[in-house]
Amino acid sequence: MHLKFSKELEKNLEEFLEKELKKISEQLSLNLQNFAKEAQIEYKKEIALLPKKIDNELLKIQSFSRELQSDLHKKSEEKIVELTNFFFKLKNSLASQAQSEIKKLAESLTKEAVKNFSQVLSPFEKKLELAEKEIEEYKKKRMAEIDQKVYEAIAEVSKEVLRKTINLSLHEDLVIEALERAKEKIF
Amino acid sequence: MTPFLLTKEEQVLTLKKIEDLENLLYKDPEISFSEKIKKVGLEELLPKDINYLSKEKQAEFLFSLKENLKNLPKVTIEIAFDPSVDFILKLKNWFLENLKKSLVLEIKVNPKIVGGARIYYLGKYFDFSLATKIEELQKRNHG
Repeated sequence: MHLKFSKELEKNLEEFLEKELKKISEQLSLNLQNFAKEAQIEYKKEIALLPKKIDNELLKIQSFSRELQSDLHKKSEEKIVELTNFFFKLKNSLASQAQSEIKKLAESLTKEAVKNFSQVLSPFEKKLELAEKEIEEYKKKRMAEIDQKVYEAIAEVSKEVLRKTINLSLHEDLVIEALERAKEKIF
Repeated sequence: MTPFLLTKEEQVLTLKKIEDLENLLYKDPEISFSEKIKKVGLEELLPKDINYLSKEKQAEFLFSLKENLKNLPKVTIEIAFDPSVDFILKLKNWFLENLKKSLVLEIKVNPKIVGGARIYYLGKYFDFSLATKIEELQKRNHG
């Protein structure tokens, strides 16, 4: 009995399941169809909207691109300014350093050159100094000689004038005066 | 003995006369010594009693006189002009009055001294010439 019952149940169950499965399958198919229809509609909608979306997206991309470009441009400019400033600073610093080095080098070279020049010139300077001294002495000597000759000439002229001026009487008086003066000294 | 003063020329001439007299001393015995003295022109210089001395003594005297004349102290005076006879006499008198000793006076004429005199006496020298005065003035002004 038990076994008989089971077979019936099983059969009933199978039938039920078949029915249910069929229903489910039909429902699924229907649903699928609906879904496909809806999807198609949605797809069409979406397709229809796609150019606009694309335009929008393009606009967005263009806008972004412009912003990006602007930003990049700005950043580039900033970078360029920064780099320019940096290079200017670097250039100035290098120039300053170079100038300082050149100055030091120039000073060093000048010192060396002066030293060398002095060493080279030293004997000449001494000779020049000596020569100048000799010239000065010679000038002094010559001037003294000229002075001496002038005074001698004056003396000679004075003598000549006196020789012509003094008369015999005055000559005689001068001799007697000389004797009077000499009396206490040599006689 | 009275001091006397001869010029250098007179000294030379007198010495010459003495030598001439020495040479005549033993010559021409017929001529007296006083005449020989007159002949050479020494009558003013020699004493009259020399005539009474022997020839040897006369010779000695002349020799001694000659030596004395040669050794007379000499004063040399350098002047700028040719002196006249009067001025030479004036100089002689000056020396006799002031020095009161026998001397030979040598007068040198040097126009370069301009005026005044340079005097040399027994190694001493005194320059009172105008030339030197001018040179001294010149040195003073120059120096």
